[in-house]
Amino acid sequence: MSDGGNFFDDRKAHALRAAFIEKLVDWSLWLEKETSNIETSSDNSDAVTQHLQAISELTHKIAGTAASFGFPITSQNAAKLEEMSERLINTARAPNSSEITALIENVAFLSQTIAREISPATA
Amino acid sequence: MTPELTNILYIEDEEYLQQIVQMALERVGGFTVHLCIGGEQALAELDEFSPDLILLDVRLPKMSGPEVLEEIRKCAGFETTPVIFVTASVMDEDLDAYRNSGAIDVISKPFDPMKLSDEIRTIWKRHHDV
Repeated sequence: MSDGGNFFDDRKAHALRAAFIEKLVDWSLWLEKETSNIETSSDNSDAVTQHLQAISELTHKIAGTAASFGFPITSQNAAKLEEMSERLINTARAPNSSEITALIENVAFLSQTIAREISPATA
Repeated sequence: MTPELTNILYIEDEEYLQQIVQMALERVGGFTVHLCIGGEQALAELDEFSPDLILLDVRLPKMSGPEVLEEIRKCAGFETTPVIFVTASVMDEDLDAYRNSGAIDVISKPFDPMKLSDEIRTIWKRHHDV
């Protein structure tokens, strides 16, 4: 995939990309919050599943959009996090502490990826 | 001879993707694009826009993409309108299932906005040349 450089030289496309970057930052913060909700509700499997489904839906959205705006690594890492959350949903049991730790680490990694990829675009 | 591709209906609930795809298809491809956020809106507006081609997201709220396709096929005049599914799924079995459900092809998200129009034209031409 190209970085869409020429495409985003256009004023309207540039403005859309800037708005998407803001949304991406919001989504990143939301994912961190949702992951901490899993930690605090780990003894309630229904609540955990709901949080995991919410994470899966949002990471699916990020995976399917970010690269179109020039952020391919963000898309790739979001897809990995989506797979991870889907896997945890499909185990039909509450995730154990090491799985939750791995989820938190992956969310943190995605947040770092987003920050790193958007930094040249926001400079 | 391949008919001209002018009007594309894009059914997608994610607003940023809607906008970038519309820009890409109109600016790079020269198409006319009509956006719908879901199946219900699309079914209500099919006649009005009369698309040559429908780009249909698989994962939509309320009605899924395959369910929307089923309903489109019941609408008079749209029984054979070419539909391309778009999906962020990378599972081969999913992609095969979408191809077998009556769509002419499947395009994977995320798109490259500079290349999407060419990809659609290639699918369109292949569909009509067969």
